[in-house]
Amino acid sequence: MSSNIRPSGVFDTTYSDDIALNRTRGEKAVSYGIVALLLLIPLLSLEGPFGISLVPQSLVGTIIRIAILVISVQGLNILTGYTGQVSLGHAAFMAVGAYSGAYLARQFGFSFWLALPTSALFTGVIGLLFGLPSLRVKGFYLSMATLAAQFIIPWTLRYPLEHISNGSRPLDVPVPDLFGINFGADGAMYYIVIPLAMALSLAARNISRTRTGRAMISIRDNDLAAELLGINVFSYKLQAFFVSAVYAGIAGCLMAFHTNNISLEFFAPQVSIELLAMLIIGGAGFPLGPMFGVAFVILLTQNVIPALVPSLYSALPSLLPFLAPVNVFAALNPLLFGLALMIFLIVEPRGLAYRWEILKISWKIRPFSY
Amino acid sequence: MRKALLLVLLAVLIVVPVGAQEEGLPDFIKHTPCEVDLTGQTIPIYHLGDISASYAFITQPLLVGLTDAIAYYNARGGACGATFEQVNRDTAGDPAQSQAAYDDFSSREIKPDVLVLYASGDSELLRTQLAEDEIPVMISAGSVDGLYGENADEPGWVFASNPIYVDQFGDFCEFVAANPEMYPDPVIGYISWPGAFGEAAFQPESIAYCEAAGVDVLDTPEYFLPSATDISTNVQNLVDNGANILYTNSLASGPVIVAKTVVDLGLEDDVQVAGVNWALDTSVALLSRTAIGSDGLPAVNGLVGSLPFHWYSEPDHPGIQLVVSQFEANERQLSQRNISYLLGWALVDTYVELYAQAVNQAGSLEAVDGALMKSILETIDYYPLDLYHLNYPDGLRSTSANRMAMIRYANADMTGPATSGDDALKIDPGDGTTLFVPLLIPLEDFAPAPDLRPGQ
Repeated sequence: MSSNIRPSGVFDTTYSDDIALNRTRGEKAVSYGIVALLLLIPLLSLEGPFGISLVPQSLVGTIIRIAILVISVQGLNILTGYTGQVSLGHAAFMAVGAYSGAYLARQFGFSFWLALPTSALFTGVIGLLFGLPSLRVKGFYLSMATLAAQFIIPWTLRYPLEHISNGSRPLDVPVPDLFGINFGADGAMYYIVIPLAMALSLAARNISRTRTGRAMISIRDNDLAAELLGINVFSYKLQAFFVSAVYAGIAGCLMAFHTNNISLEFFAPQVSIELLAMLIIGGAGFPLGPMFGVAFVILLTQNVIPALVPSLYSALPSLLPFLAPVNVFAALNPLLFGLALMIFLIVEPRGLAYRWEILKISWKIRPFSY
Repeated sequence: MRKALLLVLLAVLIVVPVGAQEEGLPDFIKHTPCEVDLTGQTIPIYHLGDISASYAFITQPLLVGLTDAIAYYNARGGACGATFEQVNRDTAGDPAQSQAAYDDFSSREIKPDVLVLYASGDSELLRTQLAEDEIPVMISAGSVDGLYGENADEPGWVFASNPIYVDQFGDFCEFVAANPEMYPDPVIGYISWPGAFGEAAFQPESIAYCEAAGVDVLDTPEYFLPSATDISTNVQNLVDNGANILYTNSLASGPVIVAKTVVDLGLEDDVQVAGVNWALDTSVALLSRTAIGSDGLPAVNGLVGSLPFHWYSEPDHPGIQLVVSQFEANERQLSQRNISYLLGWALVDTYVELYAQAVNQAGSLEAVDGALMKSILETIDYYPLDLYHLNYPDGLRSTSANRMAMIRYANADMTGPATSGDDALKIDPGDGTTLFVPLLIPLEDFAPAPDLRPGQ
């Protein structure tokens, strides 16, 4: 949105200018700067080659977790944000990616590098299957159909495929390596996850600018009108399910190889709800939405709230006498998460990314406010 | 003369802090004497796990036990003069939170020398990372996968202070086989929570061991979620298939709902409920107060299970005496007088011993690290508060001493177990229910549990 708004006198002079993601030198510098900064982070942590502690080591693990979920939510953004098909089964598709990647590595000795794309494609096919109901149903009913995935897939993994998945019990996953380099440590895994997250986010951004992406957006905005315009609605919906599931599969597979151990608890129904909430908070339909949403929720639930908890132990008995301080984490986490979601739905239903766009526009057209 | 006196005084002032650490501790606690004075320094006790979800009944009293024990030991010199502090994070049973909490702890500038975990699932989740980061873990019990890896051939960085669940199950079968008058034609049905903890005991090795001892184990286990409120179908399935003993590897509400269902189905006289060491706990006994059997006592009355340490109902035991006296001095509630309160005390006592040995070897607290702690744990031979024996010979990662015990309720005279609700000691907690005072009656002496790791 803001990319279309430029200071007076700045024009596109070539076709490549017109399709560029960064249209000004300033934008380019900022983008490359962020990429460089992201890639530098592990090097500036205590376990980096220089042994300096400019960046807290825990930040590396946090960024990896954020990046993995960004990939997953980018997939959800394609399905829900661009195509308008609400999915409540996204975590189940992550489970397919995680378990198929683990199975390929454990059973057939696939390297991580081969297991990742294979499991992603396999998850895409499973996503297609669960996308089939979109031919007949939409809206609330389709979300129920996707919710079915959230029950059928874990059940299948837990019982019929117990010999593969270890049932309800955790399953070990090998550590990725390449030419003898072991990617077990967070600092090393970072250089797999971050470039992938960047590439897939860029790909998701570009999908929205292609013929396919525009077709998806038209289906989201008005599927009847899209059909009347000659768009094969069912085909594009299926494509969205496929791509979305591929993204989820990649995220699931990365999660499995990052923790070296997976269990079905990682892909519980509430995770699907959380992924959707991340998208809403970040901004559905915006390329940056997944990044904002995931970062906001992960930092809130895994960093901010745990940091607040110790101080609340002493303050709570007087503030909320009905709540035992020892339960504060269990109480506060869903409470603040729910509160954040509610606030965003009321105050900024288009999400953080939209607010960011407004800020950028305000900056570009300063000192004018119109 | 004055100079000599001053020198003596100075020498006393230097020596006293080092020697003073054991001052005030009862004689039965025998730590390794410290050769290094750590006065003024702090030792964090890092622990993470579920404090507020399905493990809460167990883990919340653990926090209380740790708090009381830390205050007690700190007032008596801590570890070589250093005082302890708790650093913990609640994960609410969410593995993503466990990972985040572990990342937080393991990435600190000074990594934890030792970490305490509560859940088997967490030990399995973090097993590889612990080895990479060289952080040993102390856990109460655990699974084969968490302690030895999925092929059971890689003793890792996790050390359990009780026998692992698969060994406890085998030991229970041994007990059943040795008591044919109590259990004629025993057939065990396994009913538990799904997941790393709940399924840890139901392994081919434990089943084969039971069968070899003459105890049948049904092939198909039944699993129910901690949130389940009706498991009658699960129990009926097992009973229909011939089970007359139901063994559960669950805790708190888990054993209670199994026992309650047995009562509800009118199977009290036909089915024995049994369980893992967590099933033999005050939390289970107290939660059962609303599920009353036909004898007027809570449904878990008579539940049999592992009790691999000394218990509150052994009042002559010096460790129990110490814990109970502090429990009373700190005015704790009855629900906190449970397994974890006891283990919290034993844990802090173990920390004192570990750090005494570690600083003696390393020369300073700064030089102590995870690798050193692991080597100490591998060779440790210590009795924390004399409650159990901490010893890991031959690459073992869990202790082996175990015994079976039974949940009973005190009679009105407090002279022994009640025979029915009529002669039981009852307390009115003021919430409309009736509290019965639980007793754990040991049924045998301590003996080594079988080693049922695959390949043993």
